[in-house]
Amino acid sequence: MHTSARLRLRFTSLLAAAWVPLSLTTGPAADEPKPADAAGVEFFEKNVRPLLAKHCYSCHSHAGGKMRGGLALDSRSGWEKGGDSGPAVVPGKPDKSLLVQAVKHTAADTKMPPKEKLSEAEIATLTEWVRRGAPDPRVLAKSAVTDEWWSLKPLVKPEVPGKNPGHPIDAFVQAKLREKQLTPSPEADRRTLVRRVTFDLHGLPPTPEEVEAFVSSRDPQAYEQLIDRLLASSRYGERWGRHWLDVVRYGDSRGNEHDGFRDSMWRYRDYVIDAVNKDKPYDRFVTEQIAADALFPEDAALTAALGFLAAGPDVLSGSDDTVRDEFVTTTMSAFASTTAHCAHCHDHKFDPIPQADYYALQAVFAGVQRRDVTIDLDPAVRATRTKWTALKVAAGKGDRSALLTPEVKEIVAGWAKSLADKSPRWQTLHPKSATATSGAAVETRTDGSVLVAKSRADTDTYTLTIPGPIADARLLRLELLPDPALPGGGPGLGDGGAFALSEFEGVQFASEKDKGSKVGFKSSQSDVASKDAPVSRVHDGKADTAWTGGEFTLRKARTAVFELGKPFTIPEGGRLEIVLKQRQAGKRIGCFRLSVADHAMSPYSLQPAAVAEALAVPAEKRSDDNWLSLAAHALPVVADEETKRLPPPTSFHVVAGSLPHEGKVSTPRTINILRRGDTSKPIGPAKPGALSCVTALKPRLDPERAKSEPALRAYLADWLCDRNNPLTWRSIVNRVWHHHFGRGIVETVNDFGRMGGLPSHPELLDWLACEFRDNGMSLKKLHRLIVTSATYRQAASPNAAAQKVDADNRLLWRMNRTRLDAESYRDAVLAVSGRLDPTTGGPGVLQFEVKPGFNTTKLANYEAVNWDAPGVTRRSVYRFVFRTRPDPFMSALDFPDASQYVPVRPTSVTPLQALVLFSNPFVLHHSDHLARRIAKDEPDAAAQMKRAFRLALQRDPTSEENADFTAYAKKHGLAAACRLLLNSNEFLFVE
Amino acid sequence: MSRTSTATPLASRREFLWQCGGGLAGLALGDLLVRDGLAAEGAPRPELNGGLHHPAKVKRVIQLFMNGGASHMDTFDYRPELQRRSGEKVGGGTLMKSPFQFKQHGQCGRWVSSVFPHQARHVDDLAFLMSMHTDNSVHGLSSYMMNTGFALAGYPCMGSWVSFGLGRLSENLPAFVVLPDKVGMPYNGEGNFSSGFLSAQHQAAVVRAGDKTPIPDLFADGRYPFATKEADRDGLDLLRKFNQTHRDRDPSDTRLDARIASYELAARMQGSAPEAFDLSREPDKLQRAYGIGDRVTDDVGRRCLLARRLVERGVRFVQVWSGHDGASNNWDNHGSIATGLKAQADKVDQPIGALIADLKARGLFEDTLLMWCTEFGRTAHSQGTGRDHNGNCFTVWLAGAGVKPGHAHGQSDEFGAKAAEGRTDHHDFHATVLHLLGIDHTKLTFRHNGIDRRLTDVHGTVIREILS
Repeated sequence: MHTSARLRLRFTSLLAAAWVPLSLTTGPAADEPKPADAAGVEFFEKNVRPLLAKHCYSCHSHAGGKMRGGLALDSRSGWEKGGDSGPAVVPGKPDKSLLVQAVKHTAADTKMPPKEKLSEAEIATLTEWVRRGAPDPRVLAKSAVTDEWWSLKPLVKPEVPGKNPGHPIDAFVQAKLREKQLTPSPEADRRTLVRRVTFDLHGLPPTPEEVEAFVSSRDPQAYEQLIDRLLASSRYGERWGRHWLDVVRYGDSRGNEHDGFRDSMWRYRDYVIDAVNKDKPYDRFVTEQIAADALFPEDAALTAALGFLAAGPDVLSGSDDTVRDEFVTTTMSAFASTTAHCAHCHDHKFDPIPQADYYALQAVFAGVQRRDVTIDLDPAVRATRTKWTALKVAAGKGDRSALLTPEVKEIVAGWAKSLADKSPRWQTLHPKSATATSGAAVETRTDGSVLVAKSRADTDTYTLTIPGPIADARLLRLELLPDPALPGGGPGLGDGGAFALSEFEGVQFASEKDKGSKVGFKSSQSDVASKDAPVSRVHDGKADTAWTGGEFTLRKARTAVFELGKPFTIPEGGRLEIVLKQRQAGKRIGCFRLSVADHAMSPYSLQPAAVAEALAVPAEKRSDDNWLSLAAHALPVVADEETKRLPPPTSFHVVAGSLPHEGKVSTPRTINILRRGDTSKPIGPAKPGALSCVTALKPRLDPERAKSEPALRAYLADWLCDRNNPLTWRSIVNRVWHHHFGRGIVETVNDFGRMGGLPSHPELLDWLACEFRDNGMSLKKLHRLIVTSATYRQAASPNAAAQKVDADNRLLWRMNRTRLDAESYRDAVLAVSGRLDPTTGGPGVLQFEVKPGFNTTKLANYEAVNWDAPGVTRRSVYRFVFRTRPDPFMSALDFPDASQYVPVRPTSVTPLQALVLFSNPFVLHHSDHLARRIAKDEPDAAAQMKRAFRLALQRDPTSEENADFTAYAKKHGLAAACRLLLNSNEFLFVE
Repeated sequence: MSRTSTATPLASRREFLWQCGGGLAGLALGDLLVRDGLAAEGAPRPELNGGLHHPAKVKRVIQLFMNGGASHMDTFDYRPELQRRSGEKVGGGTLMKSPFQFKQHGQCGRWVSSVFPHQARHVDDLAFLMSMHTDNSVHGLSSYMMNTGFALAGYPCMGSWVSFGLGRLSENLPAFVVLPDKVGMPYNGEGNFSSGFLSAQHQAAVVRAGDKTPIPDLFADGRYPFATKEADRDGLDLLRKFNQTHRDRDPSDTRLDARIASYELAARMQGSAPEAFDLSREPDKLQRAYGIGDRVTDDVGRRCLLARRLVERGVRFVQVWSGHDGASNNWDNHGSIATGLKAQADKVDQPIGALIADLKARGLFEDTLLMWCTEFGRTAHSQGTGRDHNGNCFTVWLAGAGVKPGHAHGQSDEFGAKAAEGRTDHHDFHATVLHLLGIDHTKLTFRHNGIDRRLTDVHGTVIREILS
């Protein structure tokens, strides 16, 4: 509860103390040339230095912690380099020196000091100093020797204290306790212990049966067996995976104004849970999240791990610098507990991290971006899809070298062979009558074709009547035919055989008396059409649009196929009427024919003219052009059919460059170091690398390797996972310790710098870090080590004497009592009420009713959720985290703003939280379920309360409690009593 | 077992409790009050009139937020040059004059357009920032900047910072209340009222003013018949006893005491909130003055009146939103200034005018700050008959304690396209508001992930020109 306030106070005092170890000296350095002008230096020391210190340092010095306008006046190089406006002093030229102008208030926009002008004498001193050539012996010393600071010291495994140490953790902890004349607390009772460790490792309470089994077991290994069972369950990964999701700011939506859903972000969440459950060695876990594609390119499923940098909110500022800043922040906070991001605008004020290091890290991410990718995880499937995609592309481009191969010819031949089976069997319609409104003569011929005589009419409408029976029509085909009888040869009566069909309509009549119903068209295709006159124009209901069959129709057949809105069968006595409206001057149709087929619309319904022509040529006689026409048409059709048969690819939301399956490698761009982090003020290019304060490791990447984007991230992964990196191993064991004890050995788990906390047990931390690093980097081994210690197994009971010495329990003379986090509370309520759905993995569960919003962001109603709907009561780690529409219930229990780094969850206590726990439908609903469950288990009223206590609190009620709660239940109902248990401190706290 | 007889239909039990002020108000409050998690500087200092670093002028704040980017040159920023040269092509666009008439008002002679006749009557009480500007012209980013000082998601908003710095004025109501538009959330949704990395106790209470149950979970829903008024009362007694026994095993853990107290505070809130939210207790005449009952002004009118009732009862910071996200029903008037902006203005003007008058009449301006804000302004160029986003210039006003009435600071350029003289930005604005509350904006910090975070980032200058 007091965490934030307490930390804040500590930090404030640290802030004052932080200057001590940071030796920023301003004396002359040995390697600097000594200024020749001894008198000038004396002038400076006597007159100028005190003046600067008095009036300027508070805003312009390292010691003041501020470099306003980018200007530092505490060294010669400070004013030489100058601030945002350039060098502050031009030696010998007071008039051209910004510093002089500023103190004289002659500069329009810079008047310094801002609050009070210097005295005339002081101004004169400064002017004189500049006139003398600005003698200044001050040199800014490099940051303090880097590995003085505890977290940067090399990791050396300390000796376990004591002669006969027993459990190493206890040996370290008890040695510290002895120093203060403190003794550890006795072991907690077994009920407390099983409840503690089950919540700790699973985020769930033990069942009454599990409690009883452990409490009554006489096996000396019972506790170890309990730990093994808990660590083997996938509930463990759900609990500990969620801790990691806090570190990466996991959310299922993008955040910001257009907070759309990320439909595949959950694969990263599942990756984390799975990695934790499988106890993936930690170096592998780190490496996969930073550079899975670079180091394990063969394992496409690991693409999920690259969600690491994508899990946070979108950055919409429009600046890549800001985007990369987040990559650096996330990576260095998560893996190295280092605030490298503080060196974005200036050298880190407290830690030995120069700006160059910060941009070196940015440069590592110079070739990656947020992306949605889809991948076939099965390499065989991937190869198949790749082949077909390439062929489709080649077909689209008419790439001769790719299309005139024996392989393609075989595909085309196979396609041609299947044509007979897949093409519709057309049934020609023979009209009984045919008329033209123009009065032109219309002839119906025995092959079903209709011939219209030339007339002077400009526009025309033909009406055909076709008598039933017509069976099973699903497709309707219209062929426009050339005919020697037509002037020019057709198929149109216009110049060059041109035609324009404006509207094509049908009406079906089931009988003679039937009033008829319109024949609707779902879709259509034609063999030839121009872009602006596709065949769909003939059924768009607009008479001024038309299909013209493309250019150059002279003596060329044209075909269109229409898919009927509803298949029909017209019986004997019924009829079909077809109307062809032609509204473009002169462009009437000369000869045409209709047919129907019982066949679904498909790429086989109609062949383009060129294809039909090529098909007519026997295979052995086909020209290259014939083959190309066939390939261009057949390949996309076959490719679609073939790829449709493949299992669908898997989608991922990641931060990455080009991925291995995409067959190319991104080249990183040059990243500039920016003055004050301002993108308009580049100073020079950054070399990719990491922190130079980690002196055991190479701080920059070999320039040759720096040319390939994946190699950059591979380097950073190697740098982080190097056994000599002192940060990584300390960082992770401290994180784990934090979650077991409610507080880290270092409280600031994301910050091991000078502004962070100091380790309470530095030797223990180092011992754990080495033990972890050198024994398989197994989190499960680390958990086992920690939870089997007597330190962990202590009671949380008070001890007035110990409290006087160490009220905060930093030395661990007892176990800390911790409040359930939001997920544990919610999951515990579901578990005890018998409603927890143990299904694992998959897309986020929407625990809200969702409706379309006013823009991308959907509306979410958390109160409308039906808690009895299937799938809703899964573990909280699987719930959909909607950034800008957070779940008020979870927020009340300190579930964080998913857009912020939350290495340590606060635990607040507020009246609104009390209201939520007391009256939110979730709690009430499950109080009711818990009551029903109990009533089912125990028909006897007296035994019911005992069952309720055992389920909710893992213990029996005292007789007074039993009497109180039974009486209350009698008066207000069992569900009301259950509600109280779910609101009790005992339910909310684990000790 | 479960209770079946009740005089009130179950479905409306919650509403019933709202109407009768809840059933738990009678509980005694323990000595422990939950005031944890405040800024390091500690509680507000009485000798500084409740300020942290210097004497406070303001104790409570009402912020009116026009979501969408309210056009300054069609409301408060009269640009005669723009009127005169309307239709001319300048700087890659066509200048468009305001379709509204401007007139001078009050002793101070402020120009106000015809869309704000009610606010125009109070210009002598308002102090204008005529030369506000922001780095972004995208709703989401600029809304974040105006609310949290950062263009990124996840930072605490001003209301949360104020709660963090100064805590509650009343134990019976939340410190920070947000009243969103009846129809929906603004751009960024609740991201605009996030407490970010500050503790959950500084979260906004998002209140649905027009709803029958304005604060969710204040009372149990009628779907759960076992959660009766009597069950609540007896239940809280038993819970207290049970928790007390638990706590007695370790009296050193104040969190256990705090949780016990939190249920009592919750009960108090149940007692106080329905009264605070009950607008029918206000005289009919006043309700009508706020526009309540009129279809156009009803929603904003209710929320303005509610805001007054809340600050009066000790809520520290109330935010009233006009407009929701999306393309319409807000101040994002791309389509038409003449109709779109006018329609939105009609919804807010009378209620805001009434709020100013009411706060003044009740003497609340003695220690209350009222401000009218938006995320950015709009272009001098036309976009059809509307205007596009413009981060280069916009107008906000402040009124009340510590503010120089009838004053205007800064000036936009001849067309209102850019902030010209006396330029100020959201950091300056935030610094000024904190200053009025007795807070030095550079000292109200919270260490997060290695950085001492501030509402004003590393920027901000108090705009002394508008302080009285």
